[in-house]
Amino acid sequence: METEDVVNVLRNIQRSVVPGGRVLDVHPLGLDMAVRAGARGLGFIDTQRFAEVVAAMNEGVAQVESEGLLRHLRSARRHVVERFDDPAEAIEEADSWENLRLPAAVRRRLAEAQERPIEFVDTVRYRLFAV
Amino acid sequence: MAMVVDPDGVELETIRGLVDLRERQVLDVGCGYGRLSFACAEAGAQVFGFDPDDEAVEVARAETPRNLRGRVRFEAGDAAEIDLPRRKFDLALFSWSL
Repeated sequence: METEDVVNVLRNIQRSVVPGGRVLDVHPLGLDMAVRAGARGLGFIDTQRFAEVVAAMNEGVAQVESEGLLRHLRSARRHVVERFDDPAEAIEEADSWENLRLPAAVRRRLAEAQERPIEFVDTVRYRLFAV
Repeated sequence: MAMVVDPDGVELETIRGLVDLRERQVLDVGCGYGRLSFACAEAGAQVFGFDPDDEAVEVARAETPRNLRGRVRFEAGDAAEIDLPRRKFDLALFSWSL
């Protein structure tokens, strides 16, 4: 994703919001994205490529803010879980990712894990803007 | 596939702590299968969600709970190109997926 794409999306959204309304940007940061089986940590997901997406998002948001279209009000961060019944489901989900990668060692530990549930844990940032 | 995103409801609690959803007009950009659209509608909002993934939108429509059918609407569309009404929504929820 390019910064220009983010800017175009944000401009389109901003026009649809009433003056004084709000835009809430919710996106995962890909920081220390953990894989767990029950209470056991299996390792971390490779988020190197996703970091480029986050950087493009941040640049796009900063540009729209500099144009005076959005004004930052508040931010929050939370850990958000994706939960699976078993390893096969989690690996199927991981295989659908475009910008994340499950390292081979983590994949192997995940495939062999007996504990449940299986979870991916990411940090999500919530940024509230005024229009 | 039995994947559950945010089984503990952390996201909705966070969103409700940041914005009042009651009787608000909410735009859910990149609504996917409608998870946050449904949550916002449950909290009292009227929601229009769209997503470039036609299949996800079809699932969102099909899985809309009966009690929310008058409160949520879904369409397929690309966020940079979709023709949105001007100055209609109180809140745009701009959620990115991995």
